[in-house]
Amino acid sequence: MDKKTQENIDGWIMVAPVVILMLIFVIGPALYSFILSFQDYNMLKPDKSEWILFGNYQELLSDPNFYQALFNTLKYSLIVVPVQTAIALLLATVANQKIKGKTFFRVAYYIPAVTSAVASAAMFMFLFNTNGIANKFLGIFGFQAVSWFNDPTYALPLAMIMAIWSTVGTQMLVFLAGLQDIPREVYEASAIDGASSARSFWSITVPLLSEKTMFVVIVGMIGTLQMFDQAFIISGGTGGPLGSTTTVVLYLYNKAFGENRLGYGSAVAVGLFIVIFTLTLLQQSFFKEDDDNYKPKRLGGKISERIAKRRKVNG
Amino acid sequence: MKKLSFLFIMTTLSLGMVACSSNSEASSDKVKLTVATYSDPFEVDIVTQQAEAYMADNPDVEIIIEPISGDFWEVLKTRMVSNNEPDIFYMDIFQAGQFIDAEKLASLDDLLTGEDLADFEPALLNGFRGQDEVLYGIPKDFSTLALYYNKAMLAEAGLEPPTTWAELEKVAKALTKDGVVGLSLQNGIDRAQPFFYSNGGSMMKDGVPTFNDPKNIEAYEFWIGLIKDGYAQTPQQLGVGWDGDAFASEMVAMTIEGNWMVNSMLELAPDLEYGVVPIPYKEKPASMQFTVAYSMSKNTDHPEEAKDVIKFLTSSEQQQIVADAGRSMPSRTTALEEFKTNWPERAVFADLAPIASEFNYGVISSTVVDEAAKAMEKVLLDDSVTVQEAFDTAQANIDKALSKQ
Repeated sequence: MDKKTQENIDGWIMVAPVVILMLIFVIGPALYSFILSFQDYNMLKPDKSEWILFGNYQELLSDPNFYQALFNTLKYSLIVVPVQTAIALLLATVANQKIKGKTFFRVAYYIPAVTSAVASAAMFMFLFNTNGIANKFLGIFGFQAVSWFNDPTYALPLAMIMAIWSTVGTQMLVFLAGLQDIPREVYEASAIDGASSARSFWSITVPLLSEKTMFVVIVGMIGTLQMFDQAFIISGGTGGPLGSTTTVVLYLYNKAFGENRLGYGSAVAVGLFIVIFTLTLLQQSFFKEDDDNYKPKRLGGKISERIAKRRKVNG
Repeated sequence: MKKLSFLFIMTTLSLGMVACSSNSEASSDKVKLTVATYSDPFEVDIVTQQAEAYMADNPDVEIIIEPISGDFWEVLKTRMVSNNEPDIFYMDIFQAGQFIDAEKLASLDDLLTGEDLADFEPALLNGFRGQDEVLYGIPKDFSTLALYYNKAMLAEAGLEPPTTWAELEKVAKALTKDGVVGLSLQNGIDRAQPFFYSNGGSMMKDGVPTFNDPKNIEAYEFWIGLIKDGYAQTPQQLGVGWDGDAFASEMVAMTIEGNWMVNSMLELAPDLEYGVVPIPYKEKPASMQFTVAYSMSKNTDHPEEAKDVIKFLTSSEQQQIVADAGRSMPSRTTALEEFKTNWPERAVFADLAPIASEFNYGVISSTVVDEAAKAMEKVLLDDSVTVQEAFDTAQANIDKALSKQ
C-alpha cells in the first residue's frame, strides 16, 4: 500500500462517523422520501401502497391549501430575512465598538439563540396575550389591544417577531467575526482621506462583509422557508387562525402524520426542496454579481497598498 | 497513520463484543410486555403502580412501562410502520378509527364474557368497535362535558342554572355585566358537539362524517349567536389559555367543560363555589364523551398474557384507583356507581354517559376536527361567512380527505 492510499483510507476512517450518520439520518431518508413522493403511501397501510408516479404532484399543483402555505412561507421569509440581517449587522457593529460593558451586550444579544424554542414560545404567549404586556405597552401610544394569536392579521407577524428575536444573536456572531477580520488600517486610511463614519460603514464595512452577508442571508432564507416550530406553537399545530400560520412544513407534517398520507407529504417536501434550491441558486448568482461590483478583495488590497506606500513615504 | 486504523478497528471490534455479550445475558424465561402510556407523570405513576400490583401476583410476567413523550400518536404510527410497536397501548376514542381501519389492533372480543361486557356502558364501547362489530379496545376511563356555573353570581342575579337553550341565552345575557361575561365557550367541535346532538343533529352517519347536517348548522348558529351577541366569549377572546382559567378567575359566570376541570379548580380556585348541571338542551339532553381504552397490538408475541394484563387494568378495582386520582371516571357501571358515592359532586358527569356522543369521526378523525375548527374560526372571525358556507366547505374537504384514504 503506497502512502497516498494509506492516507486516503485514514482520511475516510476519520470522517466515517459523520459520513455514516449523514447517510443514515439525512441522505437516506431524503432519498426515501423522494421515492415515497411517487407512491400513494398510507403510513398505517404500507402494504397497500401503490405507485402513482406523478399523481401526488398533480394533486399538489391543484391544491389551494398548498399555495396558501407556500404564500405564507414566502411572505414570512421575505420579511424575516432582510430584517434579521439588518438588525444583526447593526447589533454586531454596536458590539464591535469600544464601549463599556460590550461583553454584556454580546452575551445579552446572544441569549435568545440559546433559549429553547418552547421556553421562548411560553414567554411570547405571556407577553403577547390579549391582556399581556405588549398590548399594555402599545396601549400607551393609543393602539387598540389586539388578540395576537387569534387574529389572522397578527399571527404571522408574531411568528416573524419570534423568529427574528431568537435568530438575530447567532447571525450577529457571524457578523462580529467578520468585522474583526477587517483590518483596522482600512478604516484609518479612510479616516485620513476624510470619510465620515457613515461613509466608511457603507464603503468599507458592508462590502468587506459581503461574504458573511451571503452566508447569513442564504442560511436565513433556508431556515425561514423551513419554518415549523413557531407556527406549530402559535397555532397549536392547526396552522390557524384561518390558515394564516400554515407554513409548507407544517402543512406537510399535518398531511403526513395527521392524515397518514406519507406519499403526499413527501411530494410537498420535494416541492419545498425545489423552491429552496432554486432560490439559493438565484441568490448565489446575485451575490456573485455583487462581488464583481464591489470587488471587496481588490479594494482592500488597493487600500493596503496605499497604506504601504504611505508608510514607505513616511518611513 | 497505521496506528490510527488499527485503533479504529480495535474499538469497533471491542464495541461489537460488548454489544453481543449484553444481548446474551438477557435470557430469562419471563414474558416481557411493554405498555405505552402518555408521558405525563400523573399517568405514568398510576400505571406503574398498577403494573407492580400485577407483577406481584404474576411473577412470570414482566411489564415494562414505556411513557411516550412528544406526539403519542405520531410515535405509535411510526413504530407500527417498523413493526416495533408496544404490546399494549392507550387508545383514544378519537384516534381509534384509523388504527382499526388499518387492521393494526388485535381483536379483544373474547376478553370479556357476557356479564363482564354488560358491565360497560354500551356508548363507551361503540367507538372501539370496527365495522365488523369486533371489539378492539377496552375502555379504561372516560370523561364527559357539563355546564359549570358560579353559584354566587347566579344567586346574586336571582337566577337558576339553565336547563334549555332559551334559558341558557337568558341567563348568559343577564350575567353579562360589570366586566363579567356570561359564558366561556371554547370554539371547537369538542365543545359544540353536544349542541348538535341536542338539536337532533349528528356527526356520523354509516361511518361517514356528516358535519354539515342542517341540524348541526342550526345548532352552531345558536352557539355563534351567543358569542356574537357578547353573552359568551372564547377563552382566546378573554385572553386566557382555556375555559378553566376564565371560570376560576371569575371572568365568566358559566362554562362548558369536562370533569377534569373539577380537579383543576382545586388548584386554580379552591374557594370558588360552583355547581355543575347537564348542558342545556333543545330537543333532547346531550353530552359528549372522551374515552381512552387499552388496545393490543396485532404483532404481539404474547397475546394471551397481554390480554390478561388488559383485563387486569380494566377491572373494576383498578378503574377505581384511576378514578380516585381525580381526572377521569371508570368505564364500568359497577365501578361508576362506587365512584358516584365516593365523589358525589362528580355524579352529574357520570350520569351523562348514556347520552354522550362520541369524540370519534372514523378513519379521518383528525381531519374532521381540523376542518371543523377552521370552519368555526372562519364564522367567528369573518362576519361575511355564513355557517352554512363554512360548514359546506369543511364537509367538502372532509369528503376529499376520506376519498384519499
